[in-house]
Amino acid sequence: MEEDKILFYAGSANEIIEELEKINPGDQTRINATPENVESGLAKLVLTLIELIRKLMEKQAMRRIEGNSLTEDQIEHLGETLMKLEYKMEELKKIFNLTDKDLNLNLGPLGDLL
Amino acid sequence: MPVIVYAILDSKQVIDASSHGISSFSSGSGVELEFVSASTLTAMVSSQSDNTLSNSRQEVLAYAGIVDTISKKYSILPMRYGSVVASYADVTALLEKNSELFVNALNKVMNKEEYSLRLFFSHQHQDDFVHEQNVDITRSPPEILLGNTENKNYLLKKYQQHIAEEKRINYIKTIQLAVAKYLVNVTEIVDFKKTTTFGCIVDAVLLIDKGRKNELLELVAAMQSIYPEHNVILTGPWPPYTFAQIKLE
Repeated sequence: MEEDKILFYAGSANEIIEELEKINPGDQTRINATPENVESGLAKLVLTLIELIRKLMEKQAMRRIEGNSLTEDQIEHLGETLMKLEYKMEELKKIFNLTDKDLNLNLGPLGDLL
Repeated sequence: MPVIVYAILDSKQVIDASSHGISSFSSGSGVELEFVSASTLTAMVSSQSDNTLSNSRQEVLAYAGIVDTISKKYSILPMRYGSVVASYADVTALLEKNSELFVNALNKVMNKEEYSLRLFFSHQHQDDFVHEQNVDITRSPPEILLGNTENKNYLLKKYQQHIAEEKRINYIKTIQLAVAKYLVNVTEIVDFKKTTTFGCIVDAVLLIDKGRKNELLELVAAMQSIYPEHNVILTGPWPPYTFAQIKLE
């Protein structure tokens, strides 16, 4: 950013630069599929979508807990399912050498997917 | 010969443009810009010798720099990088086909400038905020999650994260409302973007009348003194990218 465009800022410049970089992470949020890396590009896309669905399931579970609509057995079952899902995702991320930061997509004006 | 389009503006702003069809403007970056006019509108363009358009960051920034230079002199609709048509005749056709859309969008941004306003948690306050929330949340977990089994403990951890996120979102909404109330003193045209990082509380873009920059600066300084725990950053003026979005035919 041109310096003359910064009209006002407070706090440490390093902190601000760090936060701005988080908002505009550049290339890392793109699905960068090429003929050479099509497998990892596709894996990134698929795992991002799975992660989105997993997070939605978690949200839904939290709503049900808040609504106090679950029995003891259902709670145990839900906890086990969500835990296994998370562990499985961790395994898959390791296999494809992906991190949490990789599993996101920038949707332009809509913001980030996750 | 491909023609790159940088901006659309009202022909009245451009001396001689409407009567001569094409004249020129120096962008200061070595690119010679031409005015192509049709009815009441003018496009600022440059011709290029080949069909290839580089995707490099340098080229994109150079394009944005030219648009920025134009916006300092005129009220414009800034085009996006990659706005290329096949010929000057296509530029004319573009202006004629989308005349109404362009005129409406231009009226919206006429004599106005775009600014970006962001509020971040200072890192110290961010840690304090998380700590306060954690203490608060662990005090009253839902009864159904008590029992100390592995599955319940996992759900309890997730529930606490969920509550922390909800509280953070509510806090952001409160601050955004306060900021909007402040900004209404200089403009009502504010677009709050979805915040995408934990540290970002407000990410807003606003359109204000040219000449009200100092008022905005005073307002931002006042805002900073009210929220010393946050870092406020104001940038601009930018070409009105956010408020000049139109679907071309």
